Amino acid sequence: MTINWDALQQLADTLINHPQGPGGVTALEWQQFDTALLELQQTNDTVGILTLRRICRPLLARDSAWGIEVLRRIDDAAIAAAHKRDDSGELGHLYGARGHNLHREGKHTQALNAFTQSVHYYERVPNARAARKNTYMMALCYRALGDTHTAKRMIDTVLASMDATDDWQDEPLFLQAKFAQDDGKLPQAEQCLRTAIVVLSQRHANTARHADLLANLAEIIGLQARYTEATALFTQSMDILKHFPGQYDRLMARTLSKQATMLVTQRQYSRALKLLDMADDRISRYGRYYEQLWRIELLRSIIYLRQGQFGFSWRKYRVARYYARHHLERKTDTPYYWLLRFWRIVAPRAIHI
Amino acid sequence: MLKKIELLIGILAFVIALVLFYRQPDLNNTQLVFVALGALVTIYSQRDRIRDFITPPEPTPIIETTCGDRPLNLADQRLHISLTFGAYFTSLLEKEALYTPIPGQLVCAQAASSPIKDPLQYAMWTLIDAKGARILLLAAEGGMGKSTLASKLIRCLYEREDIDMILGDSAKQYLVNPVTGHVDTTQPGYYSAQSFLERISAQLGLVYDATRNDAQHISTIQDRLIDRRAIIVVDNLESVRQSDRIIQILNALVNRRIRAIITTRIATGFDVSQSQMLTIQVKSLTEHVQVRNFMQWHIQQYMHDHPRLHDLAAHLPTNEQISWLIHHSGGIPLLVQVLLSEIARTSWMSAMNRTNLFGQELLDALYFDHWHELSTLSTPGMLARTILEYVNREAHHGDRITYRQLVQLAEDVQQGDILDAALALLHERFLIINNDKTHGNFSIYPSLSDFIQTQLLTE
Repeated sequence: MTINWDALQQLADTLINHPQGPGGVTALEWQQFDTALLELQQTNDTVGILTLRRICRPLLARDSAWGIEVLRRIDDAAIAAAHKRDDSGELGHLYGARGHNLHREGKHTQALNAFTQSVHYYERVPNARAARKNTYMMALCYRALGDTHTAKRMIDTVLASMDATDDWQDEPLFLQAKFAQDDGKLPQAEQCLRTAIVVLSQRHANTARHADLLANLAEIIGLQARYTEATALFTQSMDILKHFPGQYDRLMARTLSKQATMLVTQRQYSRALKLLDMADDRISRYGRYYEQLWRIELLRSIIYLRQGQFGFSWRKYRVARYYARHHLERKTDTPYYWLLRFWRIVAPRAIHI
Repeated sequence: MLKKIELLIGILAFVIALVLFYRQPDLNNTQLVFVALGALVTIYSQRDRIRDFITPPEPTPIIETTCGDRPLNLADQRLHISLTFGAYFTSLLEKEALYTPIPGQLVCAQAASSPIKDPLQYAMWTLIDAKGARILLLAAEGGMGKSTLASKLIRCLYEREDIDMILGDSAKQYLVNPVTGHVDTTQPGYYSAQSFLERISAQLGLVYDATRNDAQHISTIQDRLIDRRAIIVVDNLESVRQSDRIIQILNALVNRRIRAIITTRIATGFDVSQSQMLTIQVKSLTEHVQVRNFMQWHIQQYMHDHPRLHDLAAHLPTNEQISWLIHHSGGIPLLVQVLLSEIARTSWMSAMNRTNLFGQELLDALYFDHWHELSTLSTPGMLARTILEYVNREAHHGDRITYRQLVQLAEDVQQGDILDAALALLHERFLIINNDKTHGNFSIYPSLSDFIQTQLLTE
């Protein structure tokens, strides 16, 4: 069977631009990927498998497509093919991309392993720039796992080795903003994020990354009680993401959750719950973004407590604990994070994580 | 359950206080604390009733039967709903002119003995009012319009913003691999209570864990649904094993904000109280006036796709003709529609002379005749069959089937120039429905889908 590469490329292009997102085409059309993969695996065509993976690259680079089974199988097959060919450059890229997707799922330990592999292979090539970028991602993972010390050490290494060819200077600035936020230095965090946005806008305005930075900036400004300004930034962030329907549902859910948190601080509980419902509906059906669902349920628990609905609060806490125990690496952190969130909402300018 | 625990604690506190008071009439601080605590907990646990007593909730007004006439814009939910319930049910939610009420078609014993006599209005009321039954059972044979009625009710709830989420499943008789498209019919009766729980769990972002029991799963689902306003739809319950268990699960899940609609061919034998479940039977059309009204509505709706229906409207049928239609269709609305399309295409005399079959047998015979007739109608006929197979296949996967897709399908077989002719053949025989004249939203009735599946297996 001859694989129609043009048709596959056209399909991938359609999936990225479809108004309903990757799920907007019929299953029969998705079947083309499955059929092509089977054929390539049967003929041990490693070059073909890597070509197929390359075609799917823009899909896997975005939020929503990671859970589609056939894309995961293509990813697995591509990694196996790259190992067979001992293609370090390809392995560096594939492990790095996998790390990104695992990080989005909240599987930070697995993401760390993937990024470590990626850095190892990039250093073999050598591709110092790509290795630096994945080292930065490892720092993000360490921070997510609570190891701030290692994360800071890694980001210092990355910053020291960056040069003019690195067109992603906004990302370390983002992490520095997060560290500042962790330490309660909100004005410093705000400044870092504003600089990151300026740097990013020079090359990649109105992208999902831009929307993410805006949402984070809105969060910081909201914590400083400048609610009108923060609301405008949240709206701007969502407006950008609406240009990519179905592609960044997780990011949209995260933005809605952040805005909901700000509304809770303002005691606008009904509106906050409404936003959390919208965020929940965005991601619950993917069945993978358990960390985000955990955060949503934790916040709901806090809202109900503040409304005096103790029974609801307890039950939402129970669901959050269910997610933590069954799906997250933070298996025992739920009481701690619940209290931390509650404290953060009650005293928003206090030191928080 | 929590309220009951709270009430028990309150009562226990009172009892302890009374016992202490009886033994030692002089009240001391400890006893006062117990009494105060008991009173507080009891009042708190009954706060909803007290609130309702002081400020009774406004009674739900009677809903107009036009509620649910506007099509839904499913937006982000569309893909989820079409994958869950199939393209046909989804198309019903989005269809412009969905339902025409026919007096006498719906029968509901509970409505007859209530101030709201009309079964449709009673069904709407029950799904909205806090005191209404929480499970609505729509029972009828195939082709009677159960799914259509369910869609209208769901649309009504959405219109009034009484729900913002649709959950549930359609009990399919086939397993469809969503990637390969292969339809596996070797496992009839696959569907069970466990798979129902799995489905609902997945829709709520929960993973079904086989090590947990049903009660634990139900508890977690209930926790996820707190404060959400949802409708749980169970379509085609008769094709399910353990249907009683599913009803029990639904019973546990429904509350003031969560309602359920079940469609089934079997109306009896469910162990649920009348206060929890409302049954509506969708009856066949038996009266001339019912059929005439339905006929007028059908002609008005489908004249655009089947222009010869206009001729039918110009010549009113005689009583004899209407009697024949009722007799042979069994009053099944779907079959009436198929026959009307046939009559418009040929003539009353031709249709009346053609067959002495009735009901479902007649429907199957018509499908059989049409299917084989299409293969004799040269390339437009063969393309028409290809279109039916395609729509049937995609119906299981769930997606809007647009006109553009059909154009692509026809061009792939170098027959793009005869697509409209093929579609005309299908419309004339009422074998395909298009709910969006602008962009196309094609679907076929489930009974035709069953027929096509059988044909493909035997061919």
